[in-house]
Amino acid sequence: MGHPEEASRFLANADRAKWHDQTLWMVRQKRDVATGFVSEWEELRSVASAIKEHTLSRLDDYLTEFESNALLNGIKVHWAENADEHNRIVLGILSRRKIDTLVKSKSILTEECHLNDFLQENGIEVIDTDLGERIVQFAKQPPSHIVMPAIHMKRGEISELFHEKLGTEKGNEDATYLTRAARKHLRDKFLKAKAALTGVNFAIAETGGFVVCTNEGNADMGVHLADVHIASMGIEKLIPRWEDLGVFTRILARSGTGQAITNYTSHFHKPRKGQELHLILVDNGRTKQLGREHFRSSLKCIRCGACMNTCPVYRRSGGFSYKSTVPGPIGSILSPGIDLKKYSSLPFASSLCGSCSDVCPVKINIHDQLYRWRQEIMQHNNGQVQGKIFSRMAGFLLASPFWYRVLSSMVTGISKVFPGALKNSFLVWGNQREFPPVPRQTFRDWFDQNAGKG
Amino acid sequence: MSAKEKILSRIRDLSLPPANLPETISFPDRGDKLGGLKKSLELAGAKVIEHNGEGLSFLLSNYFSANVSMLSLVNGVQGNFFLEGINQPGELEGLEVAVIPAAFGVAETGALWLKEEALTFPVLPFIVQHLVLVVSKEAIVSDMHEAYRRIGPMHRNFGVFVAGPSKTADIEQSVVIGAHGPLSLTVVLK
Ligand code: SF4
Repeated sequence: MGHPEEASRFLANADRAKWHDQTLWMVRQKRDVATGFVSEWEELRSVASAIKEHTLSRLDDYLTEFESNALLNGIKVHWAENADEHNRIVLGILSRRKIDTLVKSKSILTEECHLNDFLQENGIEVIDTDLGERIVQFAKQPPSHIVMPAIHMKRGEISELFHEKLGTEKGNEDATYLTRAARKHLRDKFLKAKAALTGVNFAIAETGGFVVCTNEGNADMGVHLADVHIASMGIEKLIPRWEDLGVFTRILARSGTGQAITNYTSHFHKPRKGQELHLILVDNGRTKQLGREHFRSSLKCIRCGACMNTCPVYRRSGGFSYKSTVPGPIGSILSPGIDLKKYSSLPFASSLCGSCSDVCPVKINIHDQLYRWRQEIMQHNNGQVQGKIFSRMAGFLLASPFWYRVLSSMVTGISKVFPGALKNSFLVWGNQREFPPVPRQTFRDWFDQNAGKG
Repeated sequence: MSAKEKILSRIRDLSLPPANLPETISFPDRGDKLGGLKKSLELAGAKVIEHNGEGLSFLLSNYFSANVSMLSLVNGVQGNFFLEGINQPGELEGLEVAVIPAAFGVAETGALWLKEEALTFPVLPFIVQHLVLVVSKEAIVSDMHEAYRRIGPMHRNFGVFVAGPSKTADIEQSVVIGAHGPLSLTVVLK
């Protein structure tokens, strides 16, 4: 099943779909307020983008510099070509110390590597400690958003899940009550755990250290109590200089949640006394993406989530409809690079309205790359697959009022070409109103005429 | 070839065109740093107290009862819980209040810099139930650029910017203060 069919499933529950849409839009608006306070916002984006572009252009040098500094600091550095190697390294570190439980904070990379399944098959208990991740772990689901893993779930479901797993009162849906129950449950796990795994937000070549950002404090609770800290990072997380952190810590949370900065920005350079600190540098397809001229810049991504929150398609179709580790606009560029066949429908899960590129704090031209993938997919399949996807999309659009309104997001794109022509014809999202008038152009016509011009 | 060699040679073989590294950036002072810091912290859910001469211990007694366990690493604040005899960080579980000095604050984000040197146990500001950070009104920088310049690239011990009490919004986006870390953050500007 491709994206259109998965999205229809999500839309079958109209109330939830509407809530999802509106909630993410609210987060997007918070981002607008937060960035509005920063008068040099555009300069920060340009600088952040240039720093990342530079780093990617000399990634071999920076990886080497980073490794030698990290080693000097006392970090044990590992390299993994792919997911399997990464997972085996983690297992090796744990087995050597006979550790059978791992507390984990948020790491999209380990989702990408399917680390949890691998470790569990090998007898290791893995406890995700970010509240949202714990919720989806209880529900045996993957995260549906990279910053808000359980955004697809309603509080009733979470309450039910906690009643079953943690023994909370049946029917008590109070968010504070449920959070406190998770706090208690996870404190116990933190205190017992011998090993903790974190992701990495930024790694600094100059100093051989890395930064982890959270709001809950779970990464720190894990690593400062455990004997072993394992940090997993994709090789694209590097930045050259310590001072570059000034730029990135200013843009990450503002873009993602609308906070000025995450509550905790933790800087690790060496193991605590008596502790082991391991860092795993993972390729898993990144060097391949680096070699793709048109898609190289997708590696600048700092995983803030802003492009998901703003995307009219993501908001209305939910993270699971993408069936990829990273959903949304950026996921739709990254995933086809990993498996073109499996993810061939993702570049079509976009109205090419360009909102993703507008909010991206590192200025990735996301919508241009989506269009580029469409072309490549078409060439690759002599047009067959693309034609099929278009007709699937069309049938699906007509069948669903929500999706019908997704069309409206094209207004942004269309009005760039015909200013004022379609203004007020649709709302990007609105309450249950009558069907808006059908645009004079078909999607296909519009696409052929306009896509890729922006 | 090792994984490292393979990864590095794959990158090298691409011979990517060079892209320039921009100069590090800085911005002119934004004025009223104290006001900025207060506003940022309050926005993030912290309680901010301005200290104006009275004894710090006395000031804090308005907020925390004498019956609770309190560790103080700040001169002038008397605690009733001490680090002597604590061997494992986990033994700090159950500690109610910790009063800790912050090296400096950042007006723009409300972030306060804590260094391992001042914490003894890095887990302290996370494991404690209620965190009190004491920072000098003179030690406020205007933005994160200045903050990182101030710390400098030689700091190797653990360091953390704390910008609020721990929180989560993972249940239907309702903000709950007190996720895994402290249930409250009080900042004393002295
Ligand atoms: S592509 Fe840009 S907006 Fe999307 S998650 Fe990455 S950094 Fe954020």
